[in-house]
Amino acid sequence: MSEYIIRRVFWFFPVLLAVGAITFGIARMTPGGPFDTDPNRRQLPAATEKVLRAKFGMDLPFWRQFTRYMLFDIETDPKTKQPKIVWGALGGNLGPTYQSRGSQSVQDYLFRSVSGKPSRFQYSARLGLQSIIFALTLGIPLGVIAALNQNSWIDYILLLISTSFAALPTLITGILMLIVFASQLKWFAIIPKWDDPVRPWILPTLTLGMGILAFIARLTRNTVLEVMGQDFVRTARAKGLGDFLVNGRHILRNALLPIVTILGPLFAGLLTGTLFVETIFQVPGMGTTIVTALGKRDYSMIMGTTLLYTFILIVGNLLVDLLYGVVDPRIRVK
Amino acid sequence: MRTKKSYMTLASALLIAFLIPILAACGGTTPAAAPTAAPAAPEATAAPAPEATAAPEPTAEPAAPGSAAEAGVLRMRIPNEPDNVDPQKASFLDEIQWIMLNYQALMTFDVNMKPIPGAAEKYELSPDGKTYTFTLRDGLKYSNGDPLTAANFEYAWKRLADPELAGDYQFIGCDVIKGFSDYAATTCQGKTITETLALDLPTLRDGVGVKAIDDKTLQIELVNPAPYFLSIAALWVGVPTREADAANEDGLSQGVPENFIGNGPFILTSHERDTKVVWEPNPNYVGPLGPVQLKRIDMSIIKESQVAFQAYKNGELDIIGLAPEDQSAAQGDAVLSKEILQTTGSCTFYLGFNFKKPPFDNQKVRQAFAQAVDRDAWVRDVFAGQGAPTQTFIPPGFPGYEKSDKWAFDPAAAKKTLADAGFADGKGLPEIKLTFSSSARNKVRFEWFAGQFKQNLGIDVVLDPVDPTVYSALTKDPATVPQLFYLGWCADYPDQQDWLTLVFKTGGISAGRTGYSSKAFDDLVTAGDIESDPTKRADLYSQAQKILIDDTPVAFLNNDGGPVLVKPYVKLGKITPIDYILGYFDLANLSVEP
Repeated sequence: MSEYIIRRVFWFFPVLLAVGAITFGIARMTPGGPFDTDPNRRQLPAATEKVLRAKFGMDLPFWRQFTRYMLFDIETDPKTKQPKIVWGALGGNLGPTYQSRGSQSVQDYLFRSVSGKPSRFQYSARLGLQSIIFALTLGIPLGVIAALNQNSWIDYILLLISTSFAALPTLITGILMLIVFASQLKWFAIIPKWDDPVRPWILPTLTLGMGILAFIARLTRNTVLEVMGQDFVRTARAKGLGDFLVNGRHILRNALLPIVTILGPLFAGLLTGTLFVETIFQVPGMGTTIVTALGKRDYSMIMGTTLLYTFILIVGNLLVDLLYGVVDPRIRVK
Repeated sequence: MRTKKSYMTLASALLIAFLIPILAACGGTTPAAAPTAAPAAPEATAAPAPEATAAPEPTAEPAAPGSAAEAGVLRMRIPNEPDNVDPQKASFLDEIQWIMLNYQALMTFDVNMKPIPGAAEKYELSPDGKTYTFTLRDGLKYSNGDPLTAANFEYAWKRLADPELAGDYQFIGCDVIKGFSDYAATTCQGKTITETLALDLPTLRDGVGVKAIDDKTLQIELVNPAPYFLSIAALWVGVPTREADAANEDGLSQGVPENFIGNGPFILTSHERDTKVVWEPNPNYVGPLGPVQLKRIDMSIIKESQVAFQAYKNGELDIIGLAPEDQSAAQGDAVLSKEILQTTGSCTFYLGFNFKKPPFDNQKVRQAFAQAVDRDAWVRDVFAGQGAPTQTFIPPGFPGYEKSDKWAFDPAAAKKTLADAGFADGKGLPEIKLTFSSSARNKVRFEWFAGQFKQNLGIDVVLDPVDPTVYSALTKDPATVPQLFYLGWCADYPDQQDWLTLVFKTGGISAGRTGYSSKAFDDLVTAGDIESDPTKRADLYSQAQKILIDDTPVAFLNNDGGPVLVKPYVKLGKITPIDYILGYFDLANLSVEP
């Protein structure tokens, strides 16, 4: 078991390097650069841009820019002439952001808490976790209820609701939530106060959670239906086992496998921030980071957020693989 | 459908009511269950969490959960956390806003956009027009009580020239301040940073013509007489950044209150990243903007304009810009329509012609295109009335503004001009491609544009949308400037030199890209730049503008500007197109009296 985990963790490095290489290649091949600002504003003079390009190492050979970002680089201090090693992304240094002209690093941008407030990553991660827990706690029971009462009114209602929520983007549901609960009913402020540990979280968690809940409920319903029709369930019933045992031990446990499978990507996607929910409810998380970074061609931010996402994804997948063994004893990791 | 959905939402709200406190792992206020009134107290984190049940229970707590209007407190929205508020590095409007609340430059502007002394009490100009001697006001201090002397200004101006700093606005001192170009050898002379670092930088730094004669006297020597230097001295580029703050680049650039100590009308007292920014009046402020009546400015960072609009309607904001999408909703509302205030902008947008690509090397063709656009309809229909049509470069209200209707919309005249150019009905013209920055909004705008040329000139213009960042890269490089494009120019400071010389002189920002060059124009603006007599100077620029409009290197189309919503209890003084916050230059008359 521990050997398996060590082996998997060892594989993290080539995976991150490969993802880094692809992202780096695509980002650099995209036309336009980090010093091209809003077309209607004054552009940086070419001479100043040259200094900044040198500062960010953009004049180095392409391969060296990559190894410099991902692994390390040996730099000579221009004043003292002393060479020194600067570690790269795999050493935890995600590089200076281009948007701040190098005044701030990506890891500070994402992970540093400022004036006693949580970091951007913490805000996004908390919102993501809450939504997943909300969705799982309600979505699985609802899916099971719907499946056990297939083609009854309760099944149809759940199907209708989950289809609507799965179909509506969070941009729409978010604005609707805000208008109904904040503008009309005035239960919440539109401008949240994050000193309050509960209130500002409710609407974004609900908005984000409902979409996932809908998805999980539908998935649960379908897999439960599938498992219900299998031979071993009939055998169990033929043995005279009670409904509770059959539903709980035989059906649900088998039906959980697909849900466990999607948890890895789901965690990675939600923990690293969600664009619309965070924008509408003004969650100071990292939701807009990647979109802004792509638009501004902030190479280190694009690389940093992609690597972070990949890291959480592969850790999530590892946990999921370990969880399989718990849910289904037939699956044993080697 | 809709009722069902909101019913479900309600039901989920009740369900989550017991879930959330568990997740939050701490006692909180009553969650969403209460239907009539929710508890308001934002800081009441210690409030006991009632056993939340699904049964709605009315509570006796105050009604509005959002912040309420308060005397002396201006609540406004900013769309973003600024990237870098280091005064000698910043370049964007949202960054400059912070800097100008926090600092005061040597000069500032009055409500007519004329430069007036700011931190300086007065200035003297030497007879040759090349040396300004500023005398600072008595009792200048930083907001933390540190003394502020001429040496602090000297430090800041030399920091602007620091080649290693490479600030976005470093170029502004090139060939203006004596010795500046030698020190900022990268930006001003195009040297590489390695070449520059090999120079004797301490000596070059000492050679920059900014000297503190004594604690209260600052002398700035220029290369040539430059009447517009007083406007540059009013900008953010030379505000007195403290050496201690500059040493902490991370804190200064990110606006951490302890590292962002200034001499301006306000102090940054709290900065919650991506959320809320609080400014309070600086008790040590001495200068023409005071006495400040406001007690506080609360800025909420709201990225989505629709959310800001809801917050304004909900009474949580006192002032917002009105996005085109929300405009009809506001105009149709009995209350909101009375709270709309029209503002004028500081930008001019134009259709640019590339002289290096036919047929735009032909002056008549350019003039025909300039005559073929219905600017009134462009602003009215395409921009929903935001901004104003224009046929000249400098926007209304700015020094040097002269109305022009030389290329007024006239399809018949446009056709005739095109025929005079030798392309009757567009016959014989090469393919014409209009490149623009792609967005949902812009697609509609430029289809309208293509329609104008089809309808009024009979020309099929090919539309070429590109990603905004790519568009910037294309338009700024002389080698890749598109054949036909749409761009804007916004004032750095209210002076003709910032418009005419910087943009259209041979090699200037637009002229250098498109290849426009007119000796007559160059001679006039060069003379204007060094002319000390204001009347003569204005006349030189005026003549230059006539040449510019006649040459038509670009077709001027519209100025920006647009409606803002202001609560009736906000008393604004005079507003200008270059306000950092609305009413900034008349701050003494800005108050909130709900």
